[in-house]
Amino acid sequence: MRSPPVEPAARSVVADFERDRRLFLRRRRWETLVGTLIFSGLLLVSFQHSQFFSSDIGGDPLGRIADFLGRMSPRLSPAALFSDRATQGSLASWLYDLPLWLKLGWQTVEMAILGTVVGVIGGLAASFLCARNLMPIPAVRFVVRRGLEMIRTVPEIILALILVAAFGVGPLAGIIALAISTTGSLGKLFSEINEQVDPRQLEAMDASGAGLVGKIRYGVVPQVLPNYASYALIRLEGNLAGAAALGIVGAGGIGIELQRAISYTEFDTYLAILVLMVGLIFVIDIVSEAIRHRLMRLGAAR
Amino acid sequence: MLELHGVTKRFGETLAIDKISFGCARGELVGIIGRSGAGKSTLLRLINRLTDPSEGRITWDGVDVSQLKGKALRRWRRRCAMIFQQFNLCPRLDVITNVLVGVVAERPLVTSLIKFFPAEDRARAILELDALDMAGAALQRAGTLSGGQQQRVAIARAMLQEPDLVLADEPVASLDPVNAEVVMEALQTICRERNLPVIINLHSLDIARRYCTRVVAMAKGAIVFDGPPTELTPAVLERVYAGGRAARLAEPPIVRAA
Repeated sequence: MRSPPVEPAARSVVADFERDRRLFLRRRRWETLVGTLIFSGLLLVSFQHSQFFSSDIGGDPLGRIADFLGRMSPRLSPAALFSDRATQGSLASWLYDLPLWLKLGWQTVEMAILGTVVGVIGGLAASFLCARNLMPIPAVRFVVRRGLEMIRTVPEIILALILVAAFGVGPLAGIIALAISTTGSLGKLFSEINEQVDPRQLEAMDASGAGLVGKIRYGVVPQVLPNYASYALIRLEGNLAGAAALGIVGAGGIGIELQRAISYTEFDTYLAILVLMVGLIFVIDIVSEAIRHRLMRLGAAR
Repeated sequence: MLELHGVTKRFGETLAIDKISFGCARGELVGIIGRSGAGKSTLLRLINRLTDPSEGRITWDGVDVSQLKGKALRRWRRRCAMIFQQFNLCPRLDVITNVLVGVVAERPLVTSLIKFFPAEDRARAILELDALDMAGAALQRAGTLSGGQQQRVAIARAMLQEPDLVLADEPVASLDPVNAEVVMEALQTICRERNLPVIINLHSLDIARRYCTRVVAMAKGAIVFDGPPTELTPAVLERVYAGGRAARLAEPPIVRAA
């Protein structure tokens, strides 16, 4: 190996460093080793309990998926594609209830938007209350954090079941369910964004005598608005899918039709509605991308 | 030797660099002075090819580097090391890894990804740090260091690139006078001992006079003075900073309401 002539002093600098580095790595290696052992132990137990590798599934699961997909695909015939609803194999007979689906689909979008807006407001409020750099009282942070965790633990669908019992069948129950669970997840994400803001700007606000609200409005919000927007918009997409599922328990939206299609084994109808939902999500994603880029590029932040 | 031949840079309608031609030989410590917005930073970024010239050629030892692309461009960037005003270290990485970033361009992708660097690289990094009196902090996170210490780490990183040319953009502007001197002396030593051309953007005329072998003054994207620091007379400075203090002194004083 080619090595340059090294002076004795330099050699000792290198040797000293290598010794420190070995000590440093050894200490770190212990931590890594213990962490890896605990984590892989948990993984093993989970695999074991869920019978991930060992369950006796029998038959041919992939074949059954293919079978199901086959039943979902509509029986269209090229000759009759544009005929009226009564003709077998026409598009109109596949999408026989399209106006109703579009109406319910739009209701689903409205539910998702309302649930997200209310949830974002709730999440913002919670996020300031549990961000370490903004809320000086540890007890408040603790209570808000645990509250958000409780919300996150309850699945949307269970919330919706309770709310349907309380408010009756219809979109209101669904909107409230979405708003609550959105608050739970966005509250945590927003508070983590708040904790990563540049402290120098907050220090300048402190130095100018600004209070907590002023600090949030002019020190935090302008910095993180695009990040808030990213999370809120991805949550909007999730809420659209969520709103579609909530209809199954009577909480409004397209879900009621999904439920009906399943119970009457109209799998091709099921596919039609799913395609409709995917289309809606595409639209929402394209619009939200445009909004987010506008927020990021605008000269002065709000 | 680095040479610029009629280099021009436009940003839309704005003319940032206006047909600049100059050369810089090995062992020269060139200070570039001028008002903010005179084009000093753009000039350094053009040489390092972080931005592309709109017109003109940049050559190193006669070889055109202004048209390089891909791998060759990255090799050129590796050869002209850059030092920044805000140090541009990764605060969450330890000091030695920050320095080793200097060799990433020359090492295989996979070993870089797992933060593996051969012992030889580590030895070079620690010796560069030691030369700047920073070997003791090698395993500390860079974010925990003071500004002057961070700038020395950034210089060690630049040296690990084995550069042919060193560019420094306001390297001491955010440092206290003592640290500014430490950093300037380090750059001077590098210039002399390794016989490298060093080009430094400076705000402080005092520092330019004390350390530079040659001063280039820019105004509105063009060179208005090029010579030894001793020739920086008040008349020259008036031309360089014209419209600045001189003009402001000529303005009527602001009358405050009593």
